[in-house]
Amino acid sequence: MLKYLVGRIAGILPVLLVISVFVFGFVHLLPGDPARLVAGPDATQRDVELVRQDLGLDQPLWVQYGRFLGNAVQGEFGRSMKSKRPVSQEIGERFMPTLYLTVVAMVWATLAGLLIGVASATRRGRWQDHVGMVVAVSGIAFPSFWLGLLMIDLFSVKLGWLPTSGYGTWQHYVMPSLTLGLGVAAVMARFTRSAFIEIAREDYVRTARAKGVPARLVVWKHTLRNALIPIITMVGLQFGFLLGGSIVVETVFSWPGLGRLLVDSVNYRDYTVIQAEILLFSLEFIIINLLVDVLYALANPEIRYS
Amino acid sequence: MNRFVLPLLAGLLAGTALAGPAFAAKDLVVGLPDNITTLDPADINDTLSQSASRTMLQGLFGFDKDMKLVPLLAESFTVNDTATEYTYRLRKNVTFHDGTPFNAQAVKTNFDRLANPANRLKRQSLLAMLAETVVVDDYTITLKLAQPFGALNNNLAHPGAMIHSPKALETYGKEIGRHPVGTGPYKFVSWEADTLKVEKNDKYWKPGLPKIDHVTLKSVPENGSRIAMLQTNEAQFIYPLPSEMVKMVEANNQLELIDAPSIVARYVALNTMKKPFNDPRVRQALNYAIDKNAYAKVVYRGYAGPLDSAIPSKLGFHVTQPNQYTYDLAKAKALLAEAGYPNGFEAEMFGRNSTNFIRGMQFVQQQLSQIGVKLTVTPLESGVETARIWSVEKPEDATVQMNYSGWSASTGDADWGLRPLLWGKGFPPKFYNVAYYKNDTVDTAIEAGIATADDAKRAEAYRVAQEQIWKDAPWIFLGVENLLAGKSKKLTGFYYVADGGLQMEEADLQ
Amino acid sequence: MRGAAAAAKAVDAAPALLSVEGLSVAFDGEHGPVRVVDDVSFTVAPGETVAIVGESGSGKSVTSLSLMRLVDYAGGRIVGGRIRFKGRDGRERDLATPPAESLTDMRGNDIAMVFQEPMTSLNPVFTIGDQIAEAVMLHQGLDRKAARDEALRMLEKVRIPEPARLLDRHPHQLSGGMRQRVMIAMALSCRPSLLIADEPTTALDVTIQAQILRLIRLLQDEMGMGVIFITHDMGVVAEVADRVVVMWRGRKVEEGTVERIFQAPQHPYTKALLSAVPKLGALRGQDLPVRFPLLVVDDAKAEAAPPAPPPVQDTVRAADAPLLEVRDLTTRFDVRKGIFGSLKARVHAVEKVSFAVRPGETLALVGESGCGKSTTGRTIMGLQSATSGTIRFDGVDTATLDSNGQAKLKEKIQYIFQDPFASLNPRMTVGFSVAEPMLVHDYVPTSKPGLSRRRAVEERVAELLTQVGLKPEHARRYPHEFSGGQRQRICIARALACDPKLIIADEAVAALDVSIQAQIVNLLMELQAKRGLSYLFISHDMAVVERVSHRVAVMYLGQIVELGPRRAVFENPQHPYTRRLMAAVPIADPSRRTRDLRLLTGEIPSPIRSIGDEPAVQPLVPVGEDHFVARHAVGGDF
Repeated sequence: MLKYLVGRIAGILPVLLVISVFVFGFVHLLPGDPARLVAGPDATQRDVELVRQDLGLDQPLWVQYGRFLGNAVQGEFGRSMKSKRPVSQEIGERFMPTLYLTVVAMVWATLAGLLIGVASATRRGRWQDHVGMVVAVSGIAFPSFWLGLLMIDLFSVKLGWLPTSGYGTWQHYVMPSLTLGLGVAAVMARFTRSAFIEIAREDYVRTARAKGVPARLVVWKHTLRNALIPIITMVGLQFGFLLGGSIVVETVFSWPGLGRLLVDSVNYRDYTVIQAEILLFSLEFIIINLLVDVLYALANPEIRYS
Repeated sequence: MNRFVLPLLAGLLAGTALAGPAFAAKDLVVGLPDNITTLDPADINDTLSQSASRTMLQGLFGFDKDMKLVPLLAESFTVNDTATEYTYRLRKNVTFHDGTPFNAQAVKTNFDRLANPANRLKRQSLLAMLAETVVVDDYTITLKLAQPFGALNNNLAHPGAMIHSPKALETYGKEIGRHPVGTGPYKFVSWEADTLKVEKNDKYWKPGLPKIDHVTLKSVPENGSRIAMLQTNEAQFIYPLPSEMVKMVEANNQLELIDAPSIVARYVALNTMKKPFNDPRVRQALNYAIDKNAYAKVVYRGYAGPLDSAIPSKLGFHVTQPNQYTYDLAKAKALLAEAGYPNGFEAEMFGRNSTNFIRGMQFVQQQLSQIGVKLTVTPLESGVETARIWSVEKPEDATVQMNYSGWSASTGDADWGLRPLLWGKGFPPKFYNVAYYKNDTVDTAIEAGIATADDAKRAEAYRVAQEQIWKDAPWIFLGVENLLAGKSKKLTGFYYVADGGLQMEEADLQ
Repeated sequence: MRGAAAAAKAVDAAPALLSVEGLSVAFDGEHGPVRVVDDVSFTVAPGETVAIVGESGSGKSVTSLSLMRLVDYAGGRIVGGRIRFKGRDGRERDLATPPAESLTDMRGNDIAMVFQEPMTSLNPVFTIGDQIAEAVMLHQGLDRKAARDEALRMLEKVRIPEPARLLDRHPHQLSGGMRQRVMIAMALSCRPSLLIADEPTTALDVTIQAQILRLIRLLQDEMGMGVIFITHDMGVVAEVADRVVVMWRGRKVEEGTVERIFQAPQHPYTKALLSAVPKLGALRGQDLPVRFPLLVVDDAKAEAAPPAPPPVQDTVRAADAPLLEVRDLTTRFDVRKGIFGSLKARVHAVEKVSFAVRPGETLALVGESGCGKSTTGRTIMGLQSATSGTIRFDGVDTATLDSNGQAKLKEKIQYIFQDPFASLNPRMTVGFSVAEPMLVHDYVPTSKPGLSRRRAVEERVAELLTQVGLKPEHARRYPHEFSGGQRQRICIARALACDPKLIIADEAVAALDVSIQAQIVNLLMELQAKRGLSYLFISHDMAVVERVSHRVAVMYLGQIVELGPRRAVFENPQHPYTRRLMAAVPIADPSRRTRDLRLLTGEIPSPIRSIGDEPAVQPLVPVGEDHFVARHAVGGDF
């Protein structure tokens, strides 16, 4: 297992290098002159040139890439073109809020998804199943933008129970995590249902029944443990997506996270921040994949021992 | 997993403890549409960050709530006839938040920093003409200019020329934008991600001010969430207020609508070097073909006024033009026919790809179709816009025929309302004269206006320029949008100035 | 509503452990409920073994699932009858009526079940120990520790080597035979009074099957359980059953003692079934293979048609040059592991195998899983590249052929796979599937002149379908409309399309019901007689091999350990492995039942060897006319 982990981690580096080339290339191929954008709408040509030099954008592209890579290796991504602060600070400040929100949203969404999924699967074809799946489909179809605003209107403006937006107390987590998690919960419910139904057809579930295992244990122990294996992958994937920061939810609820930072930096052509963020997202995905594989192995003995 | 969850839970619990509001202090929360970029005004080009800086920093001059130039840290000034040498008497007994005294040396340090191209500050152009700063005595400073510049006081009133504590400049260097120390009514407390907090400056030089203990400026990008904050009294002032949400403010008796003209001009620049726009009759015809009232209604739900000259009325030296291009299709058609286009023509119009711009462009498209002018509307993403319009080196390479655009002259002066846009020497990429308009009378007037600090002479120069431009019609003059904001009725002394800036020096909560 | 008087009377009359009376089970189909078990009655006494025999669709498995009401979880429901079961406390319950979930205290406790598929019947995420202990904890209220001790005891009981180590293993680390022992240990852990074994050995190799059958019998004697044995294999029935219940189309058609059923079957279906059962030793004293003397049951009337005299298969053209000559054929696979994929071991699938197939001859390759018989077939077919050795077809070394020659070769050698479900494209018509080899090989069927190519191919497809016992109009249908046996006929038609000389039949009849299996074997033999085909008949089933082959090659661990004429090999086996293989085959004749209760143990060894550890290959030495044996210890130590 340890050897496997070391191997996997060593395998990350070339992947990151390739990603860095793509990220750098892609960002620099975006239309628009960042120097002019940074300099502002009413800056003179002279101001623009000053900015260009300041940002090192007058250098050949490969020199810029070399510098970018050299710094990136040391965890240094330069300064934001917009705020002139170190990118690491800029991202660091946004990372934890997004992480916390993601964890809270994932936890409730996964639990709710599992419950609804299992409830639907075990009552397949009955009204509980239909209700569960209608809820799940609407959860996927419902735009989180509208949901967010509706909740603000109801819980903040009308009822005055929760703060409209912002970050800080547990009350602040309620609406954003609900909004963020809804889609995940819906996906999880559907996925759990189908995984569960598939596993419930397996011979070993029949074996468990033949042993006299009560229905409750057949569901939660014998069936779910096996259904969890594909579900873990799904959770990992969803977690990866959410960790990027939800642009919509963070915007609606003024959550100071990575999603909003990305939107801002793209609008502003803040290359340094965009590059660092995309690299960070890639790294997150890779790490989550790794974690998923490890969890997968823990859940699935066939992988653990081979 | 535990490593993530524990601090999270701790954070949640701690947050609960802090959640109770403190009633004793007067706390003001302002909802902003965007993030603050930096708090070093010399390096800022967005109004929002300027407003934020203005809570803490001040310049020699400033604008009052009506965009009138007023002295702040300067008490008086003298200037020579050629507008090349200005001498300022400075206010005494003013100290920066860090205790450093405000004096001529502090001004020199700041102005030299701003003027030096090596510092690569975005607002360097404000003092690009500065040749030398001379400290005459502790409270007197002379600015010598390399060429005449009559609008210097306006430039000094621009937030970009506000004064940092010299000690802070030395201490923080490049990080000054995260540690603003000025002479203003509020002191810096913290700035994290999307929230800036400032507190009352007890030693503020204006007696009795400020009245608010804490001000929080919070970025809330989503319009619906921002107005919800106002409705729940989580914020006492929010801006901008989208026109479709005005009703929500009006419906609430705790709230008050702010609706006042801005200095943002909306117009369509016509490339006067390209057919058919090289014919003034065509350009005038287009002006007659547009119903300006309908424009205000359709694009701004009525929250806009007319653009009755080349510059909005709130800018200095504005002159309302007597012969307005009143909506008159017959006249428009006649002019077109006279110019040889009885059946109209086809053209392409560029513009930004925001909803509001596209709505405006579609309106223009519809209006001009009434006189047979068929427009193709091409919305451009800002990066593409830069490449296709602003980076073009030679006028003959320009592909732009019409450009739907807007301009806010941040100095509040006619010079910055005209020179970047309509000066014959200001074609892209140097400035933004995308009409490629060149008229000797106008050029002479613009240059004369900046060559003196004599207000009478300047007024005359800008009168001439505005008259000529109006006649030549290098633009379709569309309108001036209004500033819309929502505020709590309890909030007083809080101003939303025509340039889009906020003034909260006199703010109070009842 | 059943009368209390009737119930009381039944109790008096039945000393039985289980008494099934008029059981009917229905599933919901597209057009309303479908009765898959109809009015079935039988009894099981303590210590008795009752075999329920039937082919796919006979309702035997559904009957077995109904006894514990597991059928309720599979979408079925009991629509009539009673299942009276006498518990250990002497009380009798009707299991047919209460809600299925209320029977959990009885399942695994009073009645236990062993299923057909040991590979999938154990939960992959729990350890063996936990899975056995679970039932003990549930029913006997033991704590974890005690339950684990009990699990260990049960593993010892089912003769698993090193049971303590096995407790913490997961199912995937065990072979099929071991898993089935674990299933049995689990089933018996609460000492049930009735064990239901649903095809418990069907998925296993013969030597392992023999071990499991003996194990069940031994434990039954020890514990005095009643056993219900569900099977389609008459050999197994003859070996284990006291009484037999024959099911056909959801109904019980016959019931009797095992001797009576085998010696004097009454119902035509039973007769037909028995006629189709390949019996090892049935051709004793005959030199040539002989077709099954097959009785055919007419579906509607359940009347068996009298058999035609079985023809003798005298088709070998011994004077001609061999059609296929394989010399020193070796096929190995590398086992690579780790980050850099370094070579860790090799699978010695086929080791220096030499044999020849003559025109018109059937050579059988027999052996158990992993012996290399299928790899040999695949290598000859070119589906797998050989490590070394030569393959000559029609006198030409296939390695020297250009791509054109290779294509021609594939035309002349055809393959029939085990699984007729997987080897037909479900989205293509049967006609297209049969015509496909002709289109691929650009093969022009010899036919009446003046026909377009398309018409010629269509006629050829019709002709082929007729030859394999289908109808020309079947060409327009899709595979799902056919039964397993019919699909295998389609596969045979496809294999015949390009007039091949050699057909490699890889377990071609293994997945079919016995009666169908016999029909297909007869068809293959009939085609051989008509067309002079040669077969390489790959099989694990000794009884079928005895029926079909002219010569037999026995494979073990990648090597041929014995090769000779069918009669010589079957009547005078020389290699110990051959003898062992033969001894393990259940004989479908209860009078020849071996009551040898010595327990057999041992696993089939693995052909995976570490690098440098080359297996010893001994030459085949002649022991009789055309009869060779490898004289080495491999496979002989038991």
